Amino acid sequence: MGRGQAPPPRLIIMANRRGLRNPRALRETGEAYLYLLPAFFIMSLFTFYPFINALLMSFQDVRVVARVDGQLVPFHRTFVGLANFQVLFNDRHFIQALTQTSIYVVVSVPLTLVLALLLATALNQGLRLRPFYRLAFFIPYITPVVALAMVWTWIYHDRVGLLNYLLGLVGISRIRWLNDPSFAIPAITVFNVLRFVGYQALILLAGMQNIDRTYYEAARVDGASPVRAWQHITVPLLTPQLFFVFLISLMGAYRIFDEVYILFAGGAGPLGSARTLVFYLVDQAFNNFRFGRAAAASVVLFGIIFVLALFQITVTQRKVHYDQ
Amino acid sequence: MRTWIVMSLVGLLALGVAGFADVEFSFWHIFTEEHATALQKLADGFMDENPGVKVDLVFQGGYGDLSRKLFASLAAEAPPTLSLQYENWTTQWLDALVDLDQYIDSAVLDDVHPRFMQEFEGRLVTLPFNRSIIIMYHRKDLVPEPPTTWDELLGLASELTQDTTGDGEVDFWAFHLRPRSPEESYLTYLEQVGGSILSEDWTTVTINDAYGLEAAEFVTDLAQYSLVDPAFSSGPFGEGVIAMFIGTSAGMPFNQAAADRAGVELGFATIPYPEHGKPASQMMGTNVAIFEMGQTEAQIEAAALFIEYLLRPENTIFWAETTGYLPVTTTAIESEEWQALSEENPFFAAQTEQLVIGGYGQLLHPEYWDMRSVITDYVEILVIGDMGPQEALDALADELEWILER
Repeated sequence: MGRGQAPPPRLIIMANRRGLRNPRALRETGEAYLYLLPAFFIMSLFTFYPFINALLMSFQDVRVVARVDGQLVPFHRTFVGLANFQVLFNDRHFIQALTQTSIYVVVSVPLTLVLALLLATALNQGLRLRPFYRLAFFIPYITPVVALAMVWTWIYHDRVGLLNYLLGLVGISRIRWLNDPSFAIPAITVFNVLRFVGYQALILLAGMQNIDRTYYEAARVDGASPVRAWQHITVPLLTPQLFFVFLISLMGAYRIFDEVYILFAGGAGPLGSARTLVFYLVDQAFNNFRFGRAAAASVVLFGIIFVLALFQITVTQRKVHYDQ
Repeated sequence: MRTWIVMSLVGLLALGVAGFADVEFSFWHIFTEEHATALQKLADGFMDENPGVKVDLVFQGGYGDLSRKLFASLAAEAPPTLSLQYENWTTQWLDALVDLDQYIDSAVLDDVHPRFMQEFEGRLVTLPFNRSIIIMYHRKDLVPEPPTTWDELLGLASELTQDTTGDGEVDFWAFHLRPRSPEESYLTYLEQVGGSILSEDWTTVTINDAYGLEAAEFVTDLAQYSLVDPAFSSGPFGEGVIAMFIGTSAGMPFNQAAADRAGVELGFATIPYPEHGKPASQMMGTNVAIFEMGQTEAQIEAAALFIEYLLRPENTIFWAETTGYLPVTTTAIESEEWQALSEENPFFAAQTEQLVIGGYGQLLHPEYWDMRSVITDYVEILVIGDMGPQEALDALADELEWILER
């Protein structure tokens, strides 16, 4: 190992271990933990504690209040084993929510990503009004979801909606976008694809602009067409951004709620066709006061996201290329 | 000095015996604008009569906000003394509520209109306050004589429903059906034919019996002439695309605004019912209840006194006249003052008549929310026509049985 070269990782770890016996190093480590303490305290209060509590509640029957031995006990809990999960998996509404959310995720996440990639590619071509397009595509992302959903409620309206008016101009008869069970999930998908595509495109565009130009010059010298350069240089070197966007949008898509709540006026859509996992969870907890069942649903949701994230990290990361 | 202290204590004690010595209690509600002003006026009148009592009116947002805040306050063992609440909330925290018959004068209770008296597991824990009822709204130009029976309604509906533009699609409907509001689209009709969701002892599902089928067939027939849309009826009524609908009387200001928008005169009537049935209509709105948890005896007594004050004929009439809710006592409903108001105002007349002839309350089962949710699904299936009435009711009954058993 020559002078100026970084030591191999194994040696760094050994050096650090030795350093812990050094009082100065120990003090510095202690200081670091001290700086972490406020964040840890806040996370413990608002993330770890609720998570552990929800996990416990998923195995309990929780009553808002109960009289036990003559005394009023608020939030009374009784251990019921797996009963909440048994109810969940026999509840048609939960199965419906699980299926519909999964369909929405499977369709909307890849669709948004592909469109964002194409949009980012287009924006990367040196268009004359690029700042304007970037702003235009980003506006739906920064607009509050409630305001956006209110606008889309009008766009999708059966009788006076913009979409049916435009379809009518080309001879397509009225579609009951928010009142036909077969159109509920597609309506939400279109809404969210258009909402997120600009945001994702900007992240991908930033990634594209960081790719070293020399790769493209070398490809051009070798006679590669722009399409082949995109396929073999842009996409592989964009995988860190693609991976990030895919993971974040996958997790977000499973938690879909606000859009459904506004578009379907607080309901679950025709025949429950817009019922999602979080909608089910909120309905059970805050309308039906069945907190144990809602907690069990949240544990299932957590499990799904956790497994998908693990799968993504282990499988996809092998395919991620870093330009270093 | 000691003498003064002793005398002060004796004085305070005397005040406590004679009336209320500085009792403050909170009343959580959802009222805004004119409704909030009317409630404040009632509270001010009560406080003038009871100088030692302070009513702290606390606006808590919409009904959804109120239910969540009540739940959170119970979990924190700090609920308000008095609050509005729907029946399906009351069933969830029944143990935390005060038995009102122990605090409220029996003469006052006897005067509450019998249609409003509801017992939860044999206990009287709520009394009516801002109650409304489902009535019929109609366009006076198209429906000068509102139908009174199911047959009349269907006959008129078939005449009024039209394709006015000739493009092959109906664009004017006689009626508006909101399948996601089962009270307005099926349950009221079920009650009218004598049916019910469950048997009286709640052990058997009865919704798929002959009564249930008759109501389901009527809804299926009515759907042919109805705009089936989950939105509030004021929307299509304001667009001028429907002639009649049934809806809660609490929606009157919105429906009146819709009629004004459409440039038509709004009429009010009782709901049509089958000739062999009864003129039933589900009551909506909320009751008041007192929480036991975290309250002193003086706060509970003061809140009970306030309920008695709200139930005085002059006060329930003032509330009804100002807000459009129903007066809730027999004396008030039968009073000359209310009768005169009803003669002047056909809306008051229609909703009062509907209450007296057929008001009924929600099923007070603790699992009602889940039951209502599956009933909503099958009413939609019925209206869309994905299943025949008997098939839909049988499938619905299976799901209700599962809810009862789990």
